[in-house]
Amino acid sequence: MSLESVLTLSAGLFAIGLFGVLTKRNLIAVLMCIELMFNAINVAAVGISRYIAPSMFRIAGSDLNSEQVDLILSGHVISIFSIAISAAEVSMALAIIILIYRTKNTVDISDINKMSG
Amino acid sequence: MDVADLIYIGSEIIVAVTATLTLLMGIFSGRYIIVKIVSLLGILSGLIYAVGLWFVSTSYVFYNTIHANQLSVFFKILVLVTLLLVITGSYDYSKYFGKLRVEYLSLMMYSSVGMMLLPASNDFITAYISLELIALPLVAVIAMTKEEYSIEASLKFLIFSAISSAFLLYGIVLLYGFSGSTNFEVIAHILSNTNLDSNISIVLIAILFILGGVGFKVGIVPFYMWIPDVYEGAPTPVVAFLSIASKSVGFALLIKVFLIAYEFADWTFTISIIAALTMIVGNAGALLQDNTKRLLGYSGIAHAGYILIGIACFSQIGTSTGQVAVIFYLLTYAFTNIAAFYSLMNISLSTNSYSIQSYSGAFFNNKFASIVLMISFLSLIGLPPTSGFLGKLYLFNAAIKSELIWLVLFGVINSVFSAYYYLKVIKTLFDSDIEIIKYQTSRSYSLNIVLICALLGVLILGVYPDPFLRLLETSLSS
Repeated sequence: MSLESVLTLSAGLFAIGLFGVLTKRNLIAVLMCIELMFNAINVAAVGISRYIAPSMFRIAGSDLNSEQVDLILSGHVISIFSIAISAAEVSMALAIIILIYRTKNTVDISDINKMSG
Repeated sequence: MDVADLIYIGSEIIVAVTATLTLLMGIFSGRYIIVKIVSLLGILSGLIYAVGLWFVSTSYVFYNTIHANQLSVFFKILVLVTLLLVITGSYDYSKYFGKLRVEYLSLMMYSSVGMMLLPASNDFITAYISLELIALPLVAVIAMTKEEYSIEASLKFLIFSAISSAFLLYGIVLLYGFSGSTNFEVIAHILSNTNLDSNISIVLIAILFILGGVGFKVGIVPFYMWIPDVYEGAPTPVVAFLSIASKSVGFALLIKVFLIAYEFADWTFTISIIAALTMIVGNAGALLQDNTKRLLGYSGIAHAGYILIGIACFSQIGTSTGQVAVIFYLLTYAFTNIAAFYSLMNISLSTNSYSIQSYSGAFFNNKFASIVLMISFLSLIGLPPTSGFLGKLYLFNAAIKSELIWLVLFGVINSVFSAYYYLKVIKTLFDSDIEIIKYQTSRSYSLNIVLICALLGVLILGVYPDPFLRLLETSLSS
């Protein structure tokens, strides 16, 4: 599979997620779209990492030095950190959405926008 | 990795341990004052450790992900001093947090750990983790008063920060795809030594995404929308902390990103335009505001615009002069904003309102806080002998040296316009036309001590800035 197709998939997912964040009225749906954006990034990170690795092996053969291993693994490290952080973000967001539901009995964004101007 | 590397993040470790300890003490011990003193001692020891770290030589630690130099130590000290002042002064405000006041202390400290790590980071992954560590605890703290507005502010902050993080991370991944590395210096080296002709578009998109992500944190056009709402809804001590520490370290990261971005293109014109637009939006928005916290939010946007002038100078006169001007401005802005927010808070503790009308005649009820408020607003306008004047002077000086005369004129005209809404608030303080309602002012010693410290900071930096400037110059050359 070529890098182009991976990056196209990633850009498409990212765009769908962004579109959803901007248009959805339900907070849970907005949250899901934010997750979609982060997953698009994970796809790109792992795909690029997969693309960098063979070129590294071609240059160095089987005995890679530590810097080259760093280059190969960075993409995976990005995706793992991003998964962990988006989990933390979701837990935070759900807590706040529950707080909003308790006080207002709704999770619709247009009912929450009191401050403006 | 070496165990000895840990000494470079000693103050982060101290503050994080204190934060955990505070949380545990909140469960087992009922006395709030003891918990508060323990947390203040922890922050103070972190601060003393950071001052000691100033004299340790520069080095790259943790597999080059952290560049421990004097500049990063400077930002550590700035964050910890701000945190110390913010927490000391919020003793009376903490009644609004109810049972959650211990968690407030602890989460503020966790957030400051991220703020201390960010200026030291030398790797995009570290920078991203630090940014999230800054934002997530603040989301919880903003919602803590459980009022309608503060929950809304917290939700807006969370959603905008998640979207901006997504853009930042996408930019990081694209840049990693181009350069094969996430290290700042490796990326800068590759960008300056590679022929970018065929790949210029992907690098431009990556850099623009990263700038968008960081620009959100500091609130520049067109990523400023969250600022007024969050400032209005969030608890005042949290807003003070957000507007100073979070913005300062955001600019520290922005400087680092631009040092990379200037390697392959000249951004002077783009940044000048953004700076001009940011100043206009901030000042025009503030003209119509009725809520003082919202007004300070727009004023913060305008000040981000002034600071961008310093970044626009990076290519013409070398990065050093521009950086000194930017960081000195951040220093003056920190003291000024603490004084402004906390004197507003001091008056509002008795009136329970932040609308401009509620301040009418406040001078006759609470003289000390009103005078501090007046001086801090004069400093925000940029009048001598306050520090705001010198901060603007150095920024404009750097811009004149790099022949951005039109931008300087723009900045000066904007400062003049901004005087209108600041003076409007000051005039309200002395309003004696309407019948003055006498109210019981809260006598809060800790809050007054913080106000005195901030006031001294504003005046000393305005009258005798030489030692600070010299320290900054040595730290930049390290």
